[in-house]
Amino acid sequence: MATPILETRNLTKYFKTARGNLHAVDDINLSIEKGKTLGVVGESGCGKSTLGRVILRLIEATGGEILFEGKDLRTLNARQMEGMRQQLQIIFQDPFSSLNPRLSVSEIITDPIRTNKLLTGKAEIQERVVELMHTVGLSDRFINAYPHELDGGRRQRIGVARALALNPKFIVCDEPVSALDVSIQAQILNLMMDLQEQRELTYLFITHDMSVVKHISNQIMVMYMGQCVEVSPTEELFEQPMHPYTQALLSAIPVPKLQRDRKRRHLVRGEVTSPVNPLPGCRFAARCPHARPECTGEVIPLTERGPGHFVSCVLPVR
Amino acid sequence: MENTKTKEAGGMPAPTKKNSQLKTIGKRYLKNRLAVFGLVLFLVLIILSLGAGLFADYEADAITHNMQARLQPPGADHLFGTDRYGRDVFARVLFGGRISLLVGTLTILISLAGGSLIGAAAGYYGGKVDNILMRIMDVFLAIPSILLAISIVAALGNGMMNLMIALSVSSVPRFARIVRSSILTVKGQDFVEAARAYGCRNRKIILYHILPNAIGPIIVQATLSMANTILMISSLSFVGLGLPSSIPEWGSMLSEAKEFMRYDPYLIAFPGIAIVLAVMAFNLIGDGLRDALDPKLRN
Repeated sequence: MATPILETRNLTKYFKTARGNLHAVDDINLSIEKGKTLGVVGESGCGKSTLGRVILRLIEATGGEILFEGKDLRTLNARQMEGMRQQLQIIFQDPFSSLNPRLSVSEIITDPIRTNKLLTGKAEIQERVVELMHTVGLSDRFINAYPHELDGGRRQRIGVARALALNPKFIVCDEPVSALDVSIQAQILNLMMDLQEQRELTYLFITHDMSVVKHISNQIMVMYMGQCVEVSPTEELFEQPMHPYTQALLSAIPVPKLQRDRKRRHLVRGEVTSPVNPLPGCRFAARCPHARPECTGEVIPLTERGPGHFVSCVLPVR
Repeated sequence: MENTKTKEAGGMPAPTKKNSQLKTIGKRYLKNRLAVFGLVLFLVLIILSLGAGLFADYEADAITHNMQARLQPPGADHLFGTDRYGRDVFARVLFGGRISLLVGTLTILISLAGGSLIGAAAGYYGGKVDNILMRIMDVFLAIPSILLAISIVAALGNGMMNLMIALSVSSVPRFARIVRSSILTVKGQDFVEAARAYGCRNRKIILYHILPNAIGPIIVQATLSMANTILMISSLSFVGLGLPSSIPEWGSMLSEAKEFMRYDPYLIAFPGIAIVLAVMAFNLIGDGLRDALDPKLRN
């Protein structure tokens, strides 16, 4: 196996709240190989976005290590981290709030280049901006347009261009397509996959959309209340989901078929329990149809149930 | 540069040749008729008060008492009439503009700068910085601004410089509050996080990414403070802490004329109109600037 470009070890982020620690990211160990995509799925509020931001140190972690090309990002001081930021970029979900409304397209793409002093000549920068716009499939006639003049898809392309401006190696994609129309979703996803191929980019792809994640990921991590409950290569996960939560997620994918067998749907009932000071044990137990006494009380470790397929559940393989 | 004027069917307006940011803003400003009117009005007021010497003599008309000619209504000799000491109101309004406009404008600019700095720091950094800065501002806010100004002038001594300092300090807290709250609404947006992700330093994020997006309410507050400031100057003069009452200045003319309002209303009308015009000019300029700075409102 190739060495991973990004690894986290016991990565943890607790938010202090009045009632105690909110476990947003709890003991996450992940590793992504260069040029691959790790999909992170889970319902709203499970800590997916926090995980992405903690990895980029936009939010400081509470504990653990973030190894990028073997170096622990958390040990870098502010200056050193500034140098690293070129390698690690982020694409946001909301194409409306992710672009500064006061800046024109060229200013938006130029700013990262200027900030990191990648290029200095005016003409050079201009050339690079046009090149980047073409790369993401934007006509250069938009160069002086302002974000509000463009539609969501084009705005998202600007977001991608801004992330690419620094030639990063690793990009956190925080639900980059969930705010877009389905037809545009496909365009952006294809663009991102093409870019990955051309530039050997590594993605951490955060989403709650199972069909999107299936399309783009090599490996999928399922998160529930800050914890990783299952991680597996993509096909394996879709063929043999082992954690009851994963099964529920998969069965919730709408299938456009009239005479579909409805018996096999595992709909999850109930609400997410509070992520503040959770008890040890499976956090899904309260909603799990297969819950047993041994689900609570002790930490349930991730165990390997197949090649590269880890599950945190007491249930035997079925 | 590579900007060719291409136009695609049904697409966006073709990009015009890229101007510097300032030029674009200037252009947008000039398209706004009211804003241009405000600017012209402001310039006229400035020119009139700077060129006051052409119309009247400072010593003879605006300062020296002339009891034979007191309280004369507006007429050919005295365009705006004379006040109770026989001073020419027209001359006093013109010369008064120098102080009112200068002190007013500079005070606004100083408190705008100070308030933006404090408010931006408090809003952006949050937590302890926010608490410390804003509690200090609260202390200032707790004292009525006129009292605060009075005590500062009393401590520093009379004079125009000290007057400006006093007025600025007493209006900084208001600016700081407004800047802070507008910063808070912008700070949480993703583009700020994106800027951090590509290595922008805090100062640049505040100045380049956040403040321009929070400018609207700040400008409105600045233009509204103008009238307030002019009147504050007169209040300070009234208690003997601003400028000597013989020095013409709109606010003090206004308060002096109060007693004569019934029989000689022109005394209060002219400085009043001058203040209204200045404030109006300021408001129009402010509105125009706010719109010109916002790319969403262009055309």
